[in-house]
Amino acid sequence: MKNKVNKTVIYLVLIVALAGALRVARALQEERYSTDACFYFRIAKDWARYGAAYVYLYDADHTPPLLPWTMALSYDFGLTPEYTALGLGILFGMLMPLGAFWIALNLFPEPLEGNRDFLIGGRYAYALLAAFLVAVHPFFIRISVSCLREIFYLPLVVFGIAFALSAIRRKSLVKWCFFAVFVALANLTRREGIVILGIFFIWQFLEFCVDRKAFRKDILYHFSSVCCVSAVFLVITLPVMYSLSGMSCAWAPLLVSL
Amino acid sequence: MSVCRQEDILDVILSISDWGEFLLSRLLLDAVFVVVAILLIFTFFNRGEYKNTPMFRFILTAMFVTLFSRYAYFVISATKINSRYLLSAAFYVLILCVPGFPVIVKLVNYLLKFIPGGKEKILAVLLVLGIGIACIGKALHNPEKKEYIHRVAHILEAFPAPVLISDMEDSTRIAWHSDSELIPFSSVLNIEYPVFAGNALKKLKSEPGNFFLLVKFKDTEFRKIFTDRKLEFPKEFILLEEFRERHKKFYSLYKISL
Repeated sequence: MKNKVNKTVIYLVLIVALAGALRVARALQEERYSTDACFYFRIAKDWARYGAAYVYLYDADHTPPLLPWTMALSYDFGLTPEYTALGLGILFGMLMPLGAFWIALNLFPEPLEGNRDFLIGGRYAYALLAAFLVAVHPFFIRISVSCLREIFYLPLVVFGIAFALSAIRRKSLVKWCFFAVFVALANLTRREGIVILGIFFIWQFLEFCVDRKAFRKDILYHFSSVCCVSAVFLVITLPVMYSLSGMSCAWAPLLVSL
Repeated sequence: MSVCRQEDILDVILSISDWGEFLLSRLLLDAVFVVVAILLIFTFFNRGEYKNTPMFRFILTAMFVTLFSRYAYFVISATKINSRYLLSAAFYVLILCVPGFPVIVKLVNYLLKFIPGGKEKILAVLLVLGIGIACIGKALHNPEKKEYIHRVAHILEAFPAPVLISDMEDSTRIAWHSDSELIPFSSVLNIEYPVFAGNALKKLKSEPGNFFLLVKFKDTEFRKIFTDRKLEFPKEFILLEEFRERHKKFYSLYKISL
């Protein structure tokens, strides 16, 4: 078993390295940034020069602050927003296969009977295959070097879901708190991040409908998880909302502007 | 599929035919990618791998809620749909398609019975390589598009303090790449060009900088807009270069000589 775990770790490291190499190769091919990326660069430049209040005067879409703020912060370290976004995009893109591995590990928890061979079936094989697919998926590679908000949003969603599945499996409130951290950060990157919070509440209701007896048995755990997730989400998003409230920014993380 | 009237929104969201159009659209396939879609089809024959666990229900909820919320957002906001907005939904599909892999291995193995022993593992490795090559090929294929952006940026860079005036979406990119100031303006059905030219030229005379105008026409077409309105083409507009792109699109760059 230990031997198999070691082999899995080696494969996983190779997959992460492959993910990094492919993203770097794609980044070297890109000669121009997209219109949206250039707009974010401009926002970041103005944010660093004049502050957020100035940016939200002309940013009609009221871009959530995490990406522009991070890129603006890069000026303090002598970096440009392009290289910051590229570097972080490649780094987070490399980490995405790890999230996929963890998700598949929790989703397919039982080893297959009589067929545990790598690449043919079994618990680690599915997890490794999921990681491999995320590492080589062309659109995940492209988006990692796009300098768009997805460079943050997708990895945050992936790790949020990974923590959620692990929390469900282990019945861990700490992991639900981490889930909420990732959801809140995703929501500070793209407004639809709040949909993941909705998924959590819908899933709670679904569990109640599917097996009421088990739900009632664990009612305290379910109630605690709802409280933890809501509290952590609000603790992270409310201060940001408050700090932006005096500006012309109409961005409001708790409201999905459909 | 896009609507603006509030009373139509629910009808469209609940319309089976519009849902079908959305799910079968090229956009979703683009986001999921064809290799993953094929794996998903084979997953149907290995659906026994999905145990009815809370984790599985969470992933399913995440996938359907994400798809529904994206669809509802596109319908309500009448936003132009881009496949990158569907990448989070594509991620869930990717995780769920993993059990399709052993089915393909077994199928190919069955079809190639004449290959001597140990073939299943070799086939699995070959299939992983095949999937990898297909994905990486797509990821690193970068056809040259909109070469004129590069060329315009290059021309602008040669002048000190360039200011680009344009109503084109690409102008954000050109301005960023050439380190120019951007003065965007909106032209409605081309009728505002002469008005703009008259007003802008007066104002620009008192401003410092090298001014350029970029329009999405051939030089002759742009001149015709003025002559059709019985106006003289401004002598301050000096054509620098006319660019021809694919699909017979033309762009013209003028230096505004004040």
